[in-house]
Amino acid sequence: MLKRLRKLFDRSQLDQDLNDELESHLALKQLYFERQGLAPAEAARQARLSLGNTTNWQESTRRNWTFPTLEAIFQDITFGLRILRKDKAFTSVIVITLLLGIGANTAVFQLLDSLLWNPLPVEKPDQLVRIRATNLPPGERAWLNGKAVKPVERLQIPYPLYEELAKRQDLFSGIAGISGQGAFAVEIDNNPHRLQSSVVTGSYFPVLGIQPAAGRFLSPADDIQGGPPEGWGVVISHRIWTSIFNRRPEAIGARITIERLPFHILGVTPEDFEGIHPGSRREIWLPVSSFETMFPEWNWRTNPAQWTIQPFARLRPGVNLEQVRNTLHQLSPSLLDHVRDPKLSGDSLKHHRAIQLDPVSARSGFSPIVNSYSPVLWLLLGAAASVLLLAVLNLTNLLLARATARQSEIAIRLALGASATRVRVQLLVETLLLATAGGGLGLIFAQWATHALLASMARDNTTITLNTDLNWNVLAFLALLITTVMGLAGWLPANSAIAQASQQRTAPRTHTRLRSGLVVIQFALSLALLGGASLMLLSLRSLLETPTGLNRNQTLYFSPDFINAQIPKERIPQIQANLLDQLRQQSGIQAAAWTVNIPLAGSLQMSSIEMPSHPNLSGNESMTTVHHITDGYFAAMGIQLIAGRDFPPRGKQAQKQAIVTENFARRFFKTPVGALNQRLRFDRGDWLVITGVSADTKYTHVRDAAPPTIYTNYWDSQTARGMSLIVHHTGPAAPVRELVNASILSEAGRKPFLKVSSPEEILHSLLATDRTLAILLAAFAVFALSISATGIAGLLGYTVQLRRKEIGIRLALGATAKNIQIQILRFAISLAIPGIALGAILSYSLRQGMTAYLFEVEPGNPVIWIAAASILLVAALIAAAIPAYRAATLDPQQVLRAD
Amino acid sequence: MEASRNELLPGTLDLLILSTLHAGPAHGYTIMEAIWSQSGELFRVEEGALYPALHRLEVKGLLSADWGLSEAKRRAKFYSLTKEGQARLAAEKANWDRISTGMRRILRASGA
Repeated sequence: MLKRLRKLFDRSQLDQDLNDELESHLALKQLYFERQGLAPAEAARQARLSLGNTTNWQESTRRNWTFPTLEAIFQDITFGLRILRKDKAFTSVIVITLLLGIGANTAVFQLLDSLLWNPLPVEKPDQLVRIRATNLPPGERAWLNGKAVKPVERLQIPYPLYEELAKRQDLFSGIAGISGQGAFAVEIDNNPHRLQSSVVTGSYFPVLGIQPAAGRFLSPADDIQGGPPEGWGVVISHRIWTSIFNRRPEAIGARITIERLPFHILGVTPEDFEGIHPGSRREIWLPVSSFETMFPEWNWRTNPAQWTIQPFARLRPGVNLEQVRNTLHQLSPSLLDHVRDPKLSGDSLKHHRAIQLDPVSARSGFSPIVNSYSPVLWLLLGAAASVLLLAVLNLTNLLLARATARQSEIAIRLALGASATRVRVQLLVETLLLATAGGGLGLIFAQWATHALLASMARDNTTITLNTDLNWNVLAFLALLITTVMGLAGWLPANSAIAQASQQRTAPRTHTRLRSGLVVIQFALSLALLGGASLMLLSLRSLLETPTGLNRNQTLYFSPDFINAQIPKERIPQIQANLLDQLRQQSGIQAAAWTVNIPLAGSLQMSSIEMPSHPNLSGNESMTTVHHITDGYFAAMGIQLIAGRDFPPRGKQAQKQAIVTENFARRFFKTPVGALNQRLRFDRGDWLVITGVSADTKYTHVRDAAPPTIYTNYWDSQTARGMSLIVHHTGPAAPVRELVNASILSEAGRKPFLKVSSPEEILHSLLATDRTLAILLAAFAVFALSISATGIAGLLGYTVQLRRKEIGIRLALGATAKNIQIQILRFAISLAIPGIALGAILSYSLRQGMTAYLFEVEPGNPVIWIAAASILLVAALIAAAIPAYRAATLDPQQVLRAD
Repeated sequence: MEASRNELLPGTLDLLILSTLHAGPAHGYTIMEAIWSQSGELFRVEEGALYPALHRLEVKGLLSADWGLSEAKRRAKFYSLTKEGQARLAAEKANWDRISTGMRRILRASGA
């Protein structure tokens, strides 16, 4: 074999040897004839004659040393390349359509892969499991893309339960937990930062089994209540080590402050590790017991009602996931008794006991964004797949046309003795070359597209970081696409070409029928894409235009972090009031106020209320959204006051007041005015008097209805943390930013961490997914439409060519050009109509997939579907115009004389 | 019939080549001559069959080849049996003996 391979590369040596062997044989033969008494010249001639056809047997000798199939395929490839290069227009159209089709699929697949299947860069990721709670009580609700849904799982469990699990060393060789995650205030060298933090148990790094890039990791000894003797330690990510510390080794041991607590840096994670939640990267890891020191009032360690720890474990070697699942399911009722609320009884108790602790593989980590992003990605993958199918149908169609055009070439090859298989392989190799060119370029396109897609779908100012480096999954997917394209698009045309060339069947008629069928399918897919895209665009428009009850322009939100700037708590309200006074005097500023919640940016507080007018409110009825604001809030947010008046400014309050929204007032008091002077209170606190009624306002998501809300006056309590300043201004935003920045600095005396945002930015990030989906579907639809139009134009051109003679005769017999044109157009319509009908059936069966993304648009909206169908019809007619014109202008004399 | 004098039973050429080379290394021409003369001028191997067969046996590793000088003072390729070739020869020979004994018995018994 080795010898053989060597000869394959050393062709000239092989030929030389064969030649020498022949020559030496000839010489001996000649010698023999000379001994028989022939003259040397005659002897040489006889010797040569006796050998017969030397080329023939030399070739068969040679074949022993070479790989005939390999060479044949190599020949096919060179021949295919030559053919494709000859027809540049055909090749580039096909390669571009395949590039987009394959590229779009690869890009979406790559994102899904990195989100769902990429293993974590840790030791033996297959052994990692996370333990979740399933079979949750029926009353539980979770929020997904702004919609309330019944949750399937809870990622967190109470700490006492985590401790019980940690005892099960028969199942796990190690267990770790993550408590809080979020942006923490971190001060490094007197500079305020907000870093994405993970609060972890000391066992976190040992369980993962990774090695630090510098320094050392947190260990259980660093995670003890009250802190280790040398003080709290943290681990920082490679990214932070690079961006803030410039990879200096002195970073190890550096003193930093997190939420006003002193820490020192222990070590740095490896570059490829940014936490175990794909999609949301972590920058700093602190021990869970330091969290306890930071927020002593939060008694998570002992309180069984606080579901705060996300547990993950490494399976003991030899134990498999199924065993652990069975054991945990069995143990669940008794384990859950450890964290039972003693007040539970009846159904609630039954529901609590029914909760199951369920281990699932954490090989790829557990991504908090999976639930909100993967359905979108699957939808996109479906759309991208239909685009690729369209491109493949288009290619099939073009190849079928070529099969007819190349009839004579193939007939000659078959006549010269090429086997049908050989010709079929040759034709398939051509298709494979096209698919590979499209796929290769598509892969490059996908690398760019994944990043663009990630950036466009990112929400809330945080970029989603996913490891989208090329891996074998993606390459295997690409190879699958390329071979599928070759099989789907290449097989029929190759067979048809051979059948036509060997005259087995009268090709053109079946051919036209087949190609018509392909065009019908193209139209069906186009209708589905066109309709889907229009629905998404319309839904996006509704989302953008739906009234939220708030100002959307000329408003800025400033969120200064006074607490972490070490400004004493008691000074903060004074600073806030001074800022309002100072800003309200500025000419460019129309209104200013403080609020605890930035509308549409995040969470809302809920509280249960008590009202003398409604003494028997049930638990659910009494839960109401509460919002702490200052005077001027309604003016700054552009919310209308329907009855009563705004809160008084600081120092002017007489009694504690509340303002309620119109829907709250109507729910409990029939009319807005009826709510005035009614009383309410929260959690047995002071009584508040309703002194105003405001218009309804959306707070959670533009998709949601405006929640019935109670506003309270911040100046009454002055205890809310993390207030934001709203400034409604005239003129450009930049000077207002500078002005507010300077005012905050002068009032506070120090520069706090300041986050600035605007309603437009918040809406933009809120609707990022909807917008991306709408834009991509629209792009896919345009692509589909243009492919279908060229498909129909190509087919009509082909039929006109085929029926040249018939048309010529009809023209000669007196048919007008108009008759002919109408005939062609009628043919186009006869293809488009069944396509549209098929598309309607297809879309109807797929409508469920869209409903989740639509806002105030019905998936069956007749206007949209009629419009989409009309667009397709018009496209078909426009595409038919050129062949129709060509048919009508045929010169009958010339046509009939030809052939 | 001419064929009966000149042509070989299919599949026997390899055995003939191997057994000829049992006597020692030889080049193509010698092998052809040897088969012709040792068969009492019954079997004639054509060059068009011999050389492909030699090369096939070489690729299979039953023969090895060395370049040397022929009687005509030309660069010639000398073939010899490898260890695998020896073993194959023994096996093929035993097989052939079995077939020919059997054939002879049948033909004799039928009295043809």
